[in-house]
Amino acid sequence: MYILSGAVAFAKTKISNNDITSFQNSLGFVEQKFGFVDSRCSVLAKEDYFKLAGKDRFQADQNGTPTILGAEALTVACESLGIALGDIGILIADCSTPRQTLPSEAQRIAGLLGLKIPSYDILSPVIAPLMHFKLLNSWKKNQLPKYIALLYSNTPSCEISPSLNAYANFFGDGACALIVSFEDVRGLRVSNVNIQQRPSDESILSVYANESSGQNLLGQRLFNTDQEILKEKISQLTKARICLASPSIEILNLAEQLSEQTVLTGGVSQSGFALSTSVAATIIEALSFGEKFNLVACVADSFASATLERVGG
Amino acid sequence: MYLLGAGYFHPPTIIDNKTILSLGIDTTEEWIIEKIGIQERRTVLPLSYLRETKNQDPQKALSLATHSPTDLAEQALLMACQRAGINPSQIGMILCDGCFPSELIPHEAEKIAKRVGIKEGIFFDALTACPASALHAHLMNSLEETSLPEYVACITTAALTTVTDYTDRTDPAIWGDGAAAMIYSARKKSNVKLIDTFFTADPTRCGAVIVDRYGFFHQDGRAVRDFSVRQTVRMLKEVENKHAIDWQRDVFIGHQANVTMLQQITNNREIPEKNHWTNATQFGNQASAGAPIVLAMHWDKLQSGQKIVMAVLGAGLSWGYAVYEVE
Repeated sequence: MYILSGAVAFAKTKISNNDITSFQNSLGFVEQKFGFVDSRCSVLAKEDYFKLAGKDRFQADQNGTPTILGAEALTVACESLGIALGDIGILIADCSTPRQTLPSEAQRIAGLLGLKIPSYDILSPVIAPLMHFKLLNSWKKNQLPKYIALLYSNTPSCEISPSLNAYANFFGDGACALIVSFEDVRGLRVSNVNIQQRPSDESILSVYANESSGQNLLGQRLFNTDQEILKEKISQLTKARICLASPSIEILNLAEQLSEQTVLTGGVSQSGFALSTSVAATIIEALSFGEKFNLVACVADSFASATLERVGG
Repeated sequence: MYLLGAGYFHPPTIIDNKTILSLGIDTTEEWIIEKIGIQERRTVLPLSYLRETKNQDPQKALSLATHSPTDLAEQALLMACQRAGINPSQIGMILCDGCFPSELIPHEAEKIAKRVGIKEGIFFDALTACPASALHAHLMNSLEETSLPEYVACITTAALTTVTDYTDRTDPAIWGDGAAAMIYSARKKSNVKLIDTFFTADPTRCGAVIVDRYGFFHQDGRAVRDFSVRQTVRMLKEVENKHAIDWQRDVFIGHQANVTMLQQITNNREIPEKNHWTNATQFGNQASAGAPIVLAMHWDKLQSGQKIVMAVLGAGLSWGYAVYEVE
């Protein structure tokens, strides 16, 4: 499978660390624990980001929803590849923060863009891009269209309560679209997709379907990745630059030490961690940078990796 | 690809038509029977809660429910595993559709895996609401068999009574809760073979059926009804031609939206009552779980030489089918 192009659409409101300081006394914590996150993007207006909670927060998105951000990212991804939206044959999405639980996010995005194509969600929080790659690499190739759109769109800033939980400040909102193909041989070739999921008590975050009470869990557990397992897994990979989106400076430092190269983080330091969107955004960086990468995603007891190698021009 | 076992589970609490009328809804039993033909449906909600609140604050519903979508799925999966003759820990992949999960992260497939004691595998939610059983079968049929683990579980679990407005004239009579599970294998053979699948969508009409995270289920009833009958008939015509379907021998299972819609379809295709398997009269519209539950309820009635045509549709708008052959 080849990743031909991609695009990100982050939410417009930027919340800086200084903004956080002016609203709450947690900057020391932020800098001490995860100093590399300078700002985060939100679909909420700045005052709403700090003041609203629960349902009010969820319903206050003023400059984007997962659907709108996803449609924007897909449009740009198609334009940059030089294909029309109508050339897309299947749309598969991952969204952990939908505005509606039914229909699927993929169908809402396709509907907004006027696409009459098979579209559905395949959800696997955070590691979704690798899950999609694994499934597509296993697909009977004669059953796939030339161009496939993969969409990752998340707005976790609507699910959190920063005033209650400083960890919440590491999340940001955005969408990432990838156009992939088995016929069009260029861009980045995806191989060696490996996924290990171990169902665990340790949820990385808990987003409730109809009650934004996830703030009690949100954040802390994102950093509970077993570093020994991560170290072991990364050590097994062929030496190459690592694409790894994580808000945890400890995890990024570990990845840099093991690969002996700077890690591509998908812009987490400026946009915040947007779950699967950030993982996919590291691939956008890889598309314009270097020859070979190890794409890595890890949450709680799940670990996923793939090799990305440049082909053609 | 073989279907090794199918299981189902319904919560025990019954909402009959008299219960609906007792909620003060502006309807009659005659209207319900004439328009949708449903007599009973199951719910995860306590009847005392429904009588007291009419579920006007759906945020409270799941916290008061007797069963979560995961609970329903677990029971269905255990039955499916028993029928397939395997231990749940042998499952290597779970696909799940939960029309209205209690949590969005962690996802339903992972929660179910943990619940039944699976240590490691591939778990993801594949969502398209009511036609999810066709999507799941289509995914199974689309993947190279060598890439799949020995046992794959496809699960649909639905608790839409938690997002039903029990002051509305129509919706309370429609919805029922339940879950279905199917165990597939490409390597271990059984007498039920998956021989054909199809799935597609027209997302330009995705606004016709919605559930808001903080609201109720809502649909454009007339548009969806017309679409449902027309599209199911189209799918059946296609399957009849492709697979030499003989409705005197073969079986139709449709989306369990309501009885009258299913009757229009069976009348159109001249499908005799004995070969139209349905449970809508007693269990209502169980969303994505409905059709696979019907198959699971008839698991012991499958006959050699029979083809089972499961044609389903719904939100998205999306539709698809799975055709099984009993060998």
